[in-house]
Amino acid sequence: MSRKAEKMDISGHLDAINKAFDSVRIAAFADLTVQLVLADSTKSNIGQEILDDLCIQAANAFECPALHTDNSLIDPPVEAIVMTDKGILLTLRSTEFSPNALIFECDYDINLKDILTMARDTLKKTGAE
Amino acid sequence: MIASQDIMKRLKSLGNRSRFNQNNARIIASGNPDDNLGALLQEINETILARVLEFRTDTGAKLCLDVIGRRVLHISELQIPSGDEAANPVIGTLLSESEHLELFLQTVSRFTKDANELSVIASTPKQEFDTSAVGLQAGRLIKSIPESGNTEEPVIETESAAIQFLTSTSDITDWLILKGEDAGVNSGDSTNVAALEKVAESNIDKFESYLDQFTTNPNEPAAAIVGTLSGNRESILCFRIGEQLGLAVINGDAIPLIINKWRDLHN
Repeated sequence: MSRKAEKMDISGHLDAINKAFDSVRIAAFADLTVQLVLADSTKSNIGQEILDDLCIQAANAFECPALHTDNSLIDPPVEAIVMTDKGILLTLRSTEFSPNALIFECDYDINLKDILTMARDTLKKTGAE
Repeated sequence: MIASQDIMKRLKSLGNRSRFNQNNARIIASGNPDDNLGALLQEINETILARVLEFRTDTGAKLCLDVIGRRVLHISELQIPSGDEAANPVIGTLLSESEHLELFLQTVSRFTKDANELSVIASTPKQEFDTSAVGLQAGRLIKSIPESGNTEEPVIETESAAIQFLTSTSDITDWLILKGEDAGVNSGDSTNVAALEKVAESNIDKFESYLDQFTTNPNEPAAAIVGTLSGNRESILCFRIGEQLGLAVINGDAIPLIINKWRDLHN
């Protein structure tokens, strides 16, 4: 699949997720290695700077110092969630080595189970691995 | 604010060696029955992890309390030689401040009345407590003691928000506070706690910087969960609440609950 076709396909999925969850403010698909948002769906107009910042934070969420030790207590992470006064930043990648990720900025009342199911399904369907 | 003389008094008392009676129970008050109620409430106030506190008096009375996070959840047993407590409505009931504060203090006062010695044995509960229950907070109970002429007022400590958060669900299985007033306080499997300690070694600044990148201003509350967000697999929670910084191992399935607890803490 070409990068452009993949992007169009993902855009439809992002719109579907954005529509399905009132609590999702931004849904984005990004390449975390180059920290670039490739597609997004938002409930209000937002600037590129906000998307760039979101992408950097999503990439950095996986850089928790607790994981960079010889005796890490957990498997390599595929998902991360950050909670602040701004809300929730949720990031999913299909494997710990995948550069591609889905990123969501949400309110606290998000149904985590449902959005995780839909997002994982999107990663599979779009072959964004 | 806690007065400096209270802090010095408390530090001095912590330096005293504990005394035990012939039943291997720790004696927490002796010689002056007026001290008993304050001493009992102080024990609750100093109990952070889930414990059954079994109090006994030299008059033959026995009182068992389920305590966690400086809160009493239940009176599980009460025996007072001179009274029939079978119909006491607070026994076995999940306690709440709005309904039971006064009745709890009356009951405990009857238990400690006239005793020349009050002792306690703390044990791990056989069954998990419902840690989402609020119960009766020790600080609130201490403030509600009727004036008794005691000169030794217990130091009122409030449970830190970090401890409240960590003890609010049993799905936060292993945890360690890295920085702040409760630095070093931990709970859970000793191997996991040791691993958390190793992870934290000389890395506290890195954890601060890690969380700062997500907040508008440095030192604002923030938490990150990294791992797998559902299923039986474990994830790492790194958080900052006020001055306190901590690390925990959590169960993936519990993350929605933990999100709710975090939100409740900040609303």
